[in-house]
Amino acid sequence: MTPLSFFWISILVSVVGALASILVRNSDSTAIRAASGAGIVASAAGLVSGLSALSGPAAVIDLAGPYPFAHFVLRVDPLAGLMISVISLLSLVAWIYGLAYMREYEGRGVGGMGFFMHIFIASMMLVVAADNAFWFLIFFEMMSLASYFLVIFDQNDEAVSAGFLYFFVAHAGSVLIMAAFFLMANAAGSFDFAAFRETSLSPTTASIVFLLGFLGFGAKAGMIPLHIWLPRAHPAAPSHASALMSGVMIKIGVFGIIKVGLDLLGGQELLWWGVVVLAFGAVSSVLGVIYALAEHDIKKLLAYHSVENIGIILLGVGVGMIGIAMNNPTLAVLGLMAGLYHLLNHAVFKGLLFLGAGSVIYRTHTKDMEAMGGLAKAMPWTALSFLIGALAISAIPPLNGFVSEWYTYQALFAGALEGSFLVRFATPIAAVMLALTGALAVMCFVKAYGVIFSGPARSENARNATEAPHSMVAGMAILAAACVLLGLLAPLVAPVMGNIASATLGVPAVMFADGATLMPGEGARTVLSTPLIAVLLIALAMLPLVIHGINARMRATRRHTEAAWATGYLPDVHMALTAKSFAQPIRMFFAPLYAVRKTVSTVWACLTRGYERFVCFARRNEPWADNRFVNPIASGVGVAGRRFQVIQGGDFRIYCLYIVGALVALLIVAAS
Amino acid sequence: MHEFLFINGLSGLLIITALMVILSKKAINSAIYYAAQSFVIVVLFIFLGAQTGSGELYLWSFTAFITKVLLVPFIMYTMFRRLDDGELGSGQVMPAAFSAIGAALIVILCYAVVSGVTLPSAENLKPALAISLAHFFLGLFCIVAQRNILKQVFGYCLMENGSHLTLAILAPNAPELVEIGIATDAVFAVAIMAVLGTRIFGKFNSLDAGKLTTLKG
Amino acid sequence: MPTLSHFLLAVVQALALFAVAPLISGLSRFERAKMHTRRGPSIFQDYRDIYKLLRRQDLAPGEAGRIFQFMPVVMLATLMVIATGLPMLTRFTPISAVGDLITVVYLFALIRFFFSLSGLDSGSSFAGIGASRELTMGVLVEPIMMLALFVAALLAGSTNLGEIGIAISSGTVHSAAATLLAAGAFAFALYIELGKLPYDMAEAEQELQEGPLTEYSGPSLALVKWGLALKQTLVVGWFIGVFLPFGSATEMSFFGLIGGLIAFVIKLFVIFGVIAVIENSVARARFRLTPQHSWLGVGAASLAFVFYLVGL
Repeated sequence: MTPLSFFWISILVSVVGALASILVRNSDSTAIRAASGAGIVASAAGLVSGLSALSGPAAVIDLAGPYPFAHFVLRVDPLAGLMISVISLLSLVAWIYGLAYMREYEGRGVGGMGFFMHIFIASMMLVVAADNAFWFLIFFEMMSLASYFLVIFDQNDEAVSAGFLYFFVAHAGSVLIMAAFFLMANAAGSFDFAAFRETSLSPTTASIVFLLGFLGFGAKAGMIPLHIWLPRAHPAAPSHASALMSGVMIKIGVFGIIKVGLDLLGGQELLWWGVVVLAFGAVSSVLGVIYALAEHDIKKLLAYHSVENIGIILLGVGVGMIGIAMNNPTLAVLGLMAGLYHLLNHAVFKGLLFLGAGSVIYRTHTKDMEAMGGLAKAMPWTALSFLIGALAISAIPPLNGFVSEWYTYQALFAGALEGSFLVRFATPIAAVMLALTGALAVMCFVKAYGVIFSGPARSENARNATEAPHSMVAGMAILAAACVLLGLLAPLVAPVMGNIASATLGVPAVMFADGATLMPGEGARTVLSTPLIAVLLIALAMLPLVIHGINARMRATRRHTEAAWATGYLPDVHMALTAKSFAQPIRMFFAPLYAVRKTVSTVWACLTRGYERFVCFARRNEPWADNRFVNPIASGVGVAGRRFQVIQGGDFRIYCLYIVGALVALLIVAAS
Repeated sequence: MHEFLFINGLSGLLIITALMVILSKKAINSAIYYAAQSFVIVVLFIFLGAQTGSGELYLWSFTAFITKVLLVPFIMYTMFRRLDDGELGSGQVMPAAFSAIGAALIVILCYAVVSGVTLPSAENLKPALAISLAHFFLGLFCIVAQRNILKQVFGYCLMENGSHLTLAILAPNAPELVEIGIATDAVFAVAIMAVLGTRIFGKFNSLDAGKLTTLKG
Repeated sequence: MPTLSHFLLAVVQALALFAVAPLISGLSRFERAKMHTRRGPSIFQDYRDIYKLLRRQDLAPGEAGRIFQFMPVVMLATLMVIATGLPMLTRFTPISAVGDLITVVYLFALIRFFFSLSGLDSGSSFAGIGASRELTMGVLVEPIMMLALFVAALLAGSTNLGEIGIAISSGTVHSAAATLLAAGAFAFALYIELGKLPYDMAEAEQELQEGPLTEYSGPSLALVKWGLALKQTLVVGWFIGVFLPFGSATEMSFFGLIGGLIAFVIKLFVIFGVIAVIENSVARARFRLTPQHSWLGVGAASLAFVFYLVGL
C-alpha cells in the first residue's frame, strides 16, 4: 500500500486513541491501556508509511478542503518520509515506555495526558506532510498547543511559568513564520507550497523571507539566542513527553528551516544565508554544551544538550545551503545529508537519554543528580542503555553519533577546500568549535553517568532504588539497539540519507557508501568503516583479556569489598565527587561565557517588568469602550427583553393559540 | 336534496357533541361523548359517500368507525379511569355559559369565512364545511379553555375530527392511503399523549396544566 | 576493504607497538634517572613490573562497578585499533578505514571517556578529581589538535592521515610556513595529551595519588600501565606519521618496510629523548593557569590557519 494510505491510518488511529482516552478518563488503567494501544498501532503504521516514502517519488494528495483559498494538500516526499519515520519511531518507544511510566500520573488526569499526546503526535505528522501554508500553520499551532498542555501537566508554579514562556516564544516564532509565508504567498498568489516553489522572488524579498523563516523556525528548534524556553519547558513535561519534544518537536524547527531555505526558496539561495546558519549552529553547539555542564538537574542538562545538537544539525544544513549557493551539488548533498543523519541520530539517542532519565527519576523521585548515585548496581539495564546513549551523544566511534559528526566534519572540510574566502574562513572555525563541543560533551556525559550511576548512593531513595518496570526497560532497549545499529549499519543507512538529501535538493545522487565503507562522495580520498572498527575493537580486546587471565589460577580471586583510599580515613559519602565540583574547572576557565547568561537574564527581567507595567495599563484602559457604548446598549436590550418576556407565559396552551393565530394571519396575507 | 339536509343536520349534531366533550367534568365522560361524536362523523361519511358516489368514503367510514368510535375511546377510557385530580375541580377557565357563547361565536365566524370562498365541488355542503372548520377551532378552544391536561387530548382529537371532515368534504376521491395516515395518527397520538398524562400524574399527582411549568429544568 | 597484506601489516604493527610500549616507558624512566645523575632501573624494568603485578590479587573498592573492571581492556583494545590505522612503517595508512584524522581524534576521546568514567566509577574522590582534570585537559587540547590537523589536511586535500603524510613528504603542500606552524601547534597539543610534566594533571602523583589509577591493583593495574605506555607511544607515532613521514616505505616491499621500521625507530628515540629533556627540566604547571598555556597553542594554530588562508 502506498505511504499515504498508511499515513491516513496512522492519523485516524491517533484521533481514535485521543477520543478513547478522553472517554474512559475516569478509569486510569483503562485510559493508559487504550491510549498506549492506539499509540502503538498508530506509530507502527506511521513507521511503515515513513519508511516506504524514503525512496521513490513524492506522493501528493490534493483535497479541495473546506476553504477556497487553501486546499488541503499533503505531500509525502523523502524528507517528509524521514520525519514521519523519526516521529513514529520515537512515539512507538514513548508509548511502550508510557505503559508503565504513566502509572506515576494516575489520579492526575492520565486520560488528558493520553489525549494531548495523541493530538501532539498526529499534528506533528500532519505538519511535516502539509504542502499548503495555511494548513501547515494550523497544524503547527496545534502542535504547540498540545505540547503546552503537556508542559504544564504538573500544575506547579515552575511548570506553569515554564509553559507560559514556551507558549510565548512559540507564538513569537509563529508570527515570524506567518510573515514569511504571507510574503511568499503574496508573490505566488496562492498558499500552496507548490506555487511557492515555482515563484522566484527578488533577492531582497528572498532574504527577508529566509531570515523570518530562519528566526521563526529557529525559535521552535531552540537555537541560541531563542532557546530560553527549552531548559525550562522540557524538564517540566513528563519524561516520555520530554523525549518526544526534545527528540522530535525541535526537529520540526530544523525541518522548517530546511523547507524554507532549501525547498521553497529553490535555487535562489545566497551565500551569506548558509554562513549565517553555520554561525548560529556553531555558537549554539558550544554555548549549549557549556551551559549543560553547569547543570545538576538531569533533565535541564539534557535540554541544553538538545540546543547543542540542534547547533550541530544546523552546521550540516548550513553547508548544504552554501553548496547550493556555490552551485556545487556534491557539497550541498553532503552537507544536507550530514544534517539529516544527525537529526535522525539525535532523535534516537536524545529520546533514549530522556527515557533513561525518566526511569531514574521514577525510582528516586528526584531530578537532582546530586541526590542519586550508585544506581548501576540496582538498575543495570537502565545504566547500560544510558551508557550507550551517553557514548552516542559524545560521538564515540563506532556508534551512530560519530558517523553523523564524521559526515559533518567532512562536509565542513569539503566546503573549506573549494569556496569563496568567506566560506574558507568560516568552515574550519566551525569545525574547531565542533571539536570543542565534542570534548565538552564527553566531559558532560562522563559527569552525568558517573554522578548518577557510579559511586556511593547519596540519598535514601537512591539506596532503595530497583530496576525500572519492564515496559520502560523495553522502550529504552529498543532505542539503545537503534543507536548501535544505526552506527554499525551506517553503510546501509548513509546511502538512504544521501538519497533523501538529493531528492530534497533536486540534484543527482552522490555515492556515500561502498560495501562496508563510508565515504563523503566520490573523489574524496578518505573513508570510514564503523563495522570494521567494531570488529577490530572486539577482536583486539581478546589480547588484554588473555593477558588478564594468564595467571588467574596462580593468584587469589578478585576481592571487591574494600573501602576506597582516603589517606587513612574511612571514606564518607560527603567525600564523593559532586556534579558541581566535577564541572568546576570548566566553569572557571570559561567564566565569561557564563557571565553572558547573567546579563541576558537581567535584561530579560527588565523586559518582563516593562511588560507587566504595560499589561496593567492596558487592563485599566481596556473597558473604556465597553463602559461607554457596549454596556448601555446591553442593559437597554435587557430591559426591552424583560418587557417582551411576558409573552412567554409558560403555559403551552397559550402557545397553541399563538401558533394558530400566526397561521390565520398568514392565511389572510396569502389570500389577499 | 334530502341528503344535503341530512348532512347539514348531522353537522349541527356534531357541534352539540363537541360542546359536550368540552364541558363534561370527568374525562371518562368526555371519552363517551367523543365516541358518540365519532359515530356521527361516520354516519356523515356514509351519507357523503352516497351523495358523491365515491367508494373510498365507504372504506373511510369503516376504518373511522374502527379507530375513532371503538379503539380510541377504549384507550382513553382505560387509561383515564385511574387518573383523578381532586384539587383541579372542573378545570375550566371560564364558566360553562361563556364557553357555549364562545363556541357559537366560532361557528358564526367560520360561516363568514366559508361563505366568502367559492368552491365548485361543495356548493351545497357549505354549511357542513363551515361546521368542520369550526370543529377544528373548537378543538383549539378546548385546549385553551381547559386546564385539565386530559382535556387537551380531547381538544386535539376534536381538531383532528374537524380536519378529517374537511378533507372528506373537499376531496372525497382521495386514495385510501390518506385514511390510513389519519387513522394511524389518531391512534398513536392518543396513545402517546395518554402515556404522557399518566406519567405526569404519577410524578405530580396533579392534572393541572398551569402546574406543568415546574417540569422545567 | 584493506587487502590481506595491508591487514597483516596493520596487525603486525599493532602487536609490535603493544609489545614495545613498556620498553619505551622504561626508556623514559632510564633517561630521567640519568638526568637526575642516578643509576636508575634498566630499560626492561617495566616488563618486570607488569609481570609482578600480573601475579598479585585484584582488589577493588566496594562501590566500584563494571566500568572500573573493564576499562583496562577497553583502553588497550582501542589503542591497538588506533595503532592499526596510523601510518608508521609506511607512508599510507594500513587500514584506511581507521586512518582518518577525525576517527583517530575521536578514538582517543573514547579512551578518555572510559578512563575518566572509571575514575568516577571507583568511588574514590582522588580518582574523581583526576577524571575531572583529564577531561578538562581534553577540552583544552582538542580544539588545538583539530585546527592544526585541519590546516594540514586542507593543505593536503584530504583528511586521511596517510594522504597528509604523502603530501608533506612529496612537498606538494604549497605553504611551508603554515605546515611548520601547524606541526608546532600539533606537537604542543600532543605534548599536553602525553600527560608528561609540566602537564601531568590527571595522574599527578603528589597531588592526586595517581588520579584515576588510584584504586587499580594487580592485573588491572598492569594493563592500565601498559595502556598508558602504549598511549604515549602512539601519540608520538601519530605526530611522526603525519608531520615527519620522511623515510617510511612508500609501497609494500620487504626492504621498504625494513627501511621504514628503522626510520621510525630512530625518529621515536630522538623525539622521546627531546621529551625526556623537557619533562625533567620543569615542574608541574598550575592547573588554574593551564588555559593560558593552551591559548598559546590556539594562537599558533590560528596563525597557521591564517597563513593557509592567505596562501603564504
